[in-house]
Amino acid sequence: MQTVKMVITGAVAAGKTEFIKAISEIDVISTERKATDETSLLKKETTVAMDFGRIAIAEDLVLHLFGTPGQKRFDFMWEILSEGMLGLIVLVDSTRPDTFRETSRIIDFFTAYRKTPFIVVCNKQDVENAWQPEDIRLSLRLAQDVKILPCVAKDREQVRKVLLELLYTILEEAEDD
Amino acid sequence: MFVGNRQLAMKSELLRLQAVSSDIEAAAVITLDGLILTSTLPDSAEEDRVSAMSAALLSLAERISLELGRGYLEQVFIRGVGGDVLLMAVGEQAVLTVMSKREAKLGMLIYYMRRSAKELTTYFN
Repeated sequence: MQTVKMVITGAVAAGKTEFIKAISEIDVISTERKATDETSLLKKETTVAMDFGRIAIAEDLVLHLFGTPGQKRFDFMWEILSEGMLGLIVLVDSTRPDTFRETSRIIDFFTAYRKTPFIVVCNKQDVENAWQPEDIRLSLRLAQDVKILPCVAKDREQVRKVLLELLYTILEEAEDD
Repeated sequence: MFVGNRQLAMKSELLRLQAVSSDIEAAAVITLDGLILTSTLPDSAEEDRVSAMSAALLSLAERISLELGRGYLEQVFIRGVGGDVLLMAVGEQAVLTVMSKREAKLGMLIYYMRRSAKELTTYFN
């Protein structure tokens, strides 16, 4: 049995908890609390420690999904959760360009200190004013070889596709090394 | 942050708590999503860290307590080589975090904290 640890990160209200809840086959361990800061304008509850979900992709391959809190003040949890991760998913709210700068900062935080395979996932593509992935790539100044995918995190099938894509990316980068 | 009467009242409760036990080095009241309400910590950078960490720890501890059939969480206790950290729920809205010296008498500390936590709940209604 092979276990792969993946971390799901992104700015506040990017859809991290929803992403994990859509796919996990166990009851997601989540730590949501009523938001009392400016986050409460976006959503009622916010993650303060982590989300944990699990999904068996094949008979001998299990993914452990760890979702991070979005707010900067919980960045110590980003450090703790990223220990031992094999791949990273960065979720972006495609409808809120004001969060793109924060998203770049988060990518830097996770990749600065160790080279980690990651993909960028443009969530909320079902909303009318959503930005296209290629426009988001330009805005985030992502290199051409970074994969960027559209997604609706509520949709189990799409989430599954994203996870497989990250898995391929991990394998590709492992071969290159 | 806006300092209202409520914050002043909570702050004086913390100072009272520190006055009864000289082993308490610092105390803070924090919202469940990790924002400081008031504290006796010396600087605000320190306040932000302590508050976010308290919220993360408390929420995880609560999940564990519930999942393992221990019911709603009342306290979290951490012992380091250099001293203790205690967290106690203040009603359903906040957490009281106390940092104490290693020599502190745990039973007395919990007793004082409980009294303060009860007092503090009155500011949340």
